[in-house]
Amino acid sequence: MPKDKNVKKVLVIGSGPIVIGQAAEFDYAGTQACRALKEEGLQVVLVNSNPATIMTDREMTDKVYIEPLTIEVLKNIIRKEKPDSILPTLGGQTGLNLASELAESGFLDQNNVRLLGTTVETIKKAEDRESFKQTMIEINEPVIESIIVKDIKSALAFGEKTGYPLIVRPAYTLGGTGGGFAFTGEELKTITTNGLEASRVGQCLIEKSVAGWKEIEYEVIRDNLGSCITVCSMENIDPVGMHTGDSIVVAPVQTLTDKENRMLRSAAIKIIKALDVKGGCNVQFALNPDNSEYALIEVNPRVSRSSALASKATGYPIARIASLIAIGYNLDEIINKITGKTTAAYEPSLDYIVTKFPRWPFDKFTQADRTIGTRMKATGEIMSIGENFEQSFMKAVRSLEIGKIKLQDDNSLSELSEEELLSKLVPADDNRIFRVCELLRRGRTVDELYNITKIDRWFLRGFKRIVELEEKIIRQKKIDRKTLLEAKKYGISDQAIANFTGNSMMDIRKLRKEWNILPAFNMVDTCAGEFEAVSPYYYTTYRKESEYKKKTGKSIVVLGSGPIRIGQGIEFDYCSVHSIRAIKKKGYDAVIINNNPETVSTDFDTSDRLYFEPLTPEDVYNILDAEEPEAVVVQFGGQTAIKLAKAVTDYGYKLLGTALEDIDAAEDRKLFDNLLESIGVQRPQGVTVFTVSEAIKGAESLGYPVLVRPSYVLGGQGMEICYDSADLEMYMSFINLHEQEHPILIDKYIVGAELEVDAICDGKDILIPGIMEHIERTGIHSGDSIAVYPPLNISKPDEDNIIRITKDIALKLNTIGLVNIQYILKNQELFVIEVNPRSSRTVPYISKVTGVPMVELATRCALGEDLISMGYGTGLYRKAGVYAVKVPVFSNEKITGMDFSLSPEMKSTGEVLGVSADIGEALLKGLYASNMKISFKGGVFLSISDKFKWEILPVAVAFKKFGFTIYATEGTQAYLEKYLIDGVIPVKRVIDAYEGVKNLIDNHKVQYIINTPTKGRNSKRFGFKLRRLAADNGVPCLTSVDTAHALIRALHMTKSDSDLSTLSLDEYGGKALI
Amino acid sequence: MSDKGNLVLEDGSCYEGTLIGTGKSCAGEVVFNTCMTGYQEVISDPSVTGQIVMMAYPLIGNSGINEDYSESSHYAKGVILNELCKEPSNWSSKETLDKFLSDKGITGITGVDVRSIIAKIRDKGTMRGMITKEKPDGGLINNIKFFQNSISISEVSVKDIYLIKGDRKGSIAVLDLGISKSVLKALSKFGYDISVYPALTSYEVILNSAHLGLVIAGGPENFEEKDQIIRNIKGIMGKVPLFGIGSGHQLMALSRGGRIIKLKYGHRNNNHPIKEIKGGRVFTALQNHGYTVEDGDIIGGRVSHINLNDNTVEGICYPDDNAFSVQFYPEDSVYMTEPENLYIKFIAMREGD
Repeated sequence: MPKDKNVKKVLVIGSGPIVIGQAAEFDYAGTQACRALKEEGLQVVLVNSNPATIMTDREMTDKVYIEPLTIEVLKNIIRKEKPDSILPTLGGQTGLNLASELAESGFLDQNNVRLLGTTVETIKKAEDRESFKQTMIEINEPVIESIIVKDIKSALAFGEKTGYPLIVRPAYTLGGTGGGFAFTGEELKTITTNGLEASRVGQCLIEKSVAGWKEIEYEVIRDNLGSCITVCSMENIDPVGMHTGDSIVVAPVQTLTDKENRMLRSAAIKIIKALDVKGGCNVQFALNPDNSEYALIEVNPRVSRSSALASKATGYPIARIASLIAIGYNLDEIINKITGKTTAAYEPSLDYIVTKFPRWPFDKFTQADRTIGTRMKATGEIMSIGENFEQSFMKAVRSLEIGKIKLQDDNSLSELSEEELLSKLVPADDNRIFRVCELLRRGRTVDELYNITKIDRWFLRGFKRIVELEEKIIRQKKIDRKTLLEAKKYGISDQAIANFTGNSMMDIRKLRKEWNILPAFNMVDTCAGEFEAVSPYYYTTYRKESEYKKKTGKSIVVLGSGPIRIGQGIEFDYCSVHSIRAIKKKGYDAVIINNNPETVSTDFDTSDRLYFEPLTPEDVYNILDAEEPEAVVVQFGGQTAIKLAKAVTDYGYKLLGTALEDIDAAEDRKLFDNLLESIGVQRPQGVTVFTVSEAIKGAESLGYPVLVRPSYVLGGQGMEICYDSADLEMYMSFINLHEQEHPILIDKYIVGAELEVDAICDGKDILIPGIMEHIERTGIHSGDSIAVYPPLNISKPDEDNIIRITKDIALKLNTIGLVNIQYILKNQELFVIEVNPRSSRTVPYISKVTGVPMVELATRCALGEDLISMGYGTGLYRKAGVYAVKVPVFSNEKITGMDFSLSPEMKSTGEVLGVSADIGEALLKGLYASNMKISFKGGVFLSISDKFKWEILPVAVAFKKFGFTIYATEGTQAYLEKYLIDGVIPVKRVIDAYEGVKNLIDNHKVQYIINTPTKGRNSKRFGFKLRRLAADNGVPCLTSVDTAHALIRALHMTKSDSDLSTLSLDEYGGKALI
Repeated sequence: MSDKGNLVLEDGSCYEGTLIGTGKSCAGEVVFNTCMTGYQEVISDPSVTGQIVMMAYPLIGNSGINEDYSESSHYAKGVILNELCKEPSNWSSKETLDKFLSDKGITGITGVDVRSIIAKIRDKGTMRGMITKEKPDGGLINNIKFFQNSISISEVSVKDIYLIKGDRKGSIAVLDLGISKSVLKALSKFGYDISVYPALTSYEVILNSAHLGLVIAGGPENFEEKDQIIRNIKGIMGKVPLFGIGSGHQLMALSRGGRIIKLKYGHRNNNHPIKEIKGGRVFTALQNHGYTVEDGDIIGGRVSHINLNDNTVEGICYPDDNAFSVQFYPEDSVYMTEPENLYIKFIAMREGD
């Protein structure tokens, strides 16, 4: 029972969709929190709009609401569920803001609901710039000096007083326009003048610059009695100036003296006490590398991305402990599950070094601005553990899956001149560290690079040692035992050594075994070996003695999905976790290999054994050697795991479920065509071409429009739809800028409804939990489409057809487990676009809505059970009593220079669900949940390309009927007028209509923008600028007429968020009720 | 120098590594310390005098050495490291750890799998060991087994009484049983004069000087003149406010009929939870000891602090005698803000008189 007897029913607020800056770490934190509260016998109600999470599973809590995270929706849920308290500090900034707002509005008091843990006063004290500054001054802790100025004079006076450099930040401008660094009074004058002009309110914040200082973080926990511990210290390799989410970070601190460490630790504890935080808190400092002077950067009075990292880095479950503190426990009353002996009142001691490396989306977002600065751009991160910095760092590099297995670079960087390499160190781009390493290779000195980057020499020397060792091996062209051991100690991969010495990876592996250079398994134990640990959380080193205890039972290894990136999100961690659970239930030891610190799968008590390791053949083989598992699971870990299918099979291990050759059959165009032909299923016709003339000829034979893409995608140049030969020529000229080794694929682009199916197959039967229909027509990436379950526009014969073809394909492909198939439906004709014999991103969503535990069933099939005996039947599962609409969420305001118009390339980072018995309301809820600003009156701006003008007419009519003012480009306006839609206000072009629209937005005249793109690549075009303008100002911008139609359907509901229905998972109908 | 060498333990196990520091053979009790920073402070803590200290954190020497940070001029005999940093990086660093070890006559070995040795000590208890160029044979192992660790307290204490001038009227006495600088620094914050006495000063001498109070702090736990100091404590306890730290805490308990027992592998860390019985708050503090006071009959004393990991005694108060003592180093504990700060408590005891 909870310590505090008044707590009986708790509402937990999740963090919503995955966006840049708020990712899977909050599913990890929320899941831990819910579990801790349940273990204490509390009733738990959870609200989160993100269905791809473990925390929103039925079995996690008593009631789950997948609902939009708005104040009004939360109020309705509170009225309905009547919780006595809210846990606000586990749902990221989203959860914290919502809880504070609910408290401040007086709603919580009126409904006798209290906030657990950290109070609203504390939150305000920490988050409000002024009161935070005031509190810190009171306790004599140094904050970064700053001033708000309205004129040049006060700016200069401040500069005089504090000294330079200074940062100028104009108030209320986006993306820091008009700001910058001032190193002299003269510069300050210029920048401030520009800044004051750029600022809408004529104000600038002028701040003392601590750029280049060390950035040091502490994770601190404080309980109800005021007992306090620091869980972990972290040092950013990238000094102040780069967002900590975009910095490479190590733990514990490496270059601080004990004196400095204690000074900052004391300060952190003093601060958490002054703020009266009860629970977890992250404190960030800037530390002057020349004299130990320090200043506070920021305090987060909640669990955060850093606390997830600290939890995984130390084995100390911060979210769990924070939750227990919130319900009245103190640190010494909570058991440390890792040792089983000690309590949570304990500071973890590490005897290894952890590296966190951000994963950026620039492999997909090739046009985006790659500058890394104060605005976070990484979509995910990885963590690695090693016995020394070099080993830890090199493991991190290979965990990233960016095609880098060594520091020596054989393409892009090695071709650059030194000047080019130096040019992007400050300000940095995502390749900075690799540029630094390349420069070290070319003989630039540590001091030189320190002076430019301020990356501490200790780290630079580490890089240099790796580079020098690589060079030594390259020079010798062969390897002796001593060098090989040294290389392994420094984390250099077998594959890299193989490349350097002209061997194969397996040659090096054989050599290592001959020479007895084998990895040792060490444990993360929170205590540097002082106590025997009971939790099997392993990492590998090349130390002498392994702590791996020979297992007794049979095990199955699950390969995780690595870092979160565009196209491979939290869904695959969800699938991995469920697979682990199913394997455990069947009596096997479930073993996970993964490297993503933000996830539930890497929680040490999710699996029977956790290996925190890179997902490359070498690293996986090491674990297979130790585990000797019955089988390896690759179908739930996204591309990361699938890519390893061949390596695992070659190494002599069995894949659980669908075999390698069948996975290949689905990927290989020719094999797959044969397969489809044998069962009489069609796919869009296509040709492969190399040259422009071949392309034109091919396209003409197929008939326009056509879908074009490189057969082997390099650098992320993706698919495009070409409507005529001009389009195709442009595409070919662009693609042929880079030499093409592989042909270009040209497929007939069939305009039709896109349908998607996830099925479970046991080799004899299939079960389709549900069919999804995409709102947007074919040609838009399924991950970026709004998906509706159950489908709206398919007839019974269509449905039967889908079931039959799905079964044929699944059986023909020898699928055992999950298969995802995408179809086009056109005039009752079905075309197959894609078959993926593995889990897909829609699995969590459909599992939740239908109540069919898809991953569990698929795993059981793979372990030999029959579908027929599982109690869910075969064929198409019965429909739920609701519509569930999946809406993609984009992080478009975070990635500058990027065009977010919908296309065949995926761009979204996350998703939300809207659920209702009424399709209109389900759509509306989905849009609310995706944080779209919904308005029922106002204005709309239309800029429609010719081929869609016809289709936009009903949208324009509807907006008019709703009473919206319609603005349009002159061309669109003329077209609308022709079809008797009058009163449309044309926005005149000077060069283009940009300024006009900007004016409308600035004056809040426009609530929606509908713009169908012509060509997205040219960032100087009107369309591109328009979409960026919308993104930067938070105005919804729809780029597909289909989305526009869906919006109209949703707006018909004219429901504000307070009028929306609220449904818990139990209320969906169907299996869920059992 | 990069000579190969061995760490040989009394059970005959041998770990090959690279010799650092003086490179000369040294024998002693092998203890491990889990502090992640503060290698210099650990090596120069007088309580490790005569011991071979093994650092659990694998990368040691990163921030170099600055003599000002040393806790005393008494050092460990040897150090065992996983990896030595040869090129430190910190603005305050004046030299490398390797050079410091050589200069101070300390032998070290690096490149050994520290974690596995800690596991061994954790299971079998503290062992004697030797860092040496020699290969282990029966004779060598016997030498290690029967190596005597005991020292004379005079080795680590001041030779003569000395005074640290304050700016306030009144003085505090400190009995130096191998004191670390941090204790003196913490005391000097109050502004009183501080008189530091050699360990074997008789109690009459201290009492004659009318101090506001006496701090007994140290240091090594095994030395020959324990009885003499216990006699002095008996003579002084109750007559002047008393604050015992480290071995001072143990000796005060002994003077009141308490018993000292050896811990399996000691407390050498800064992360153990210490609970203050009154109030129930928990904090962590720097610790460096291999023995502990047994919870039992201590005349006039009752337990004030315990270690939550193993429930051993961390502090005792003697209310009738205006005295208290702690096993840990209270000056390190950043969590002990007033009024729990034991120095403040001690000073308040004086001023209350």
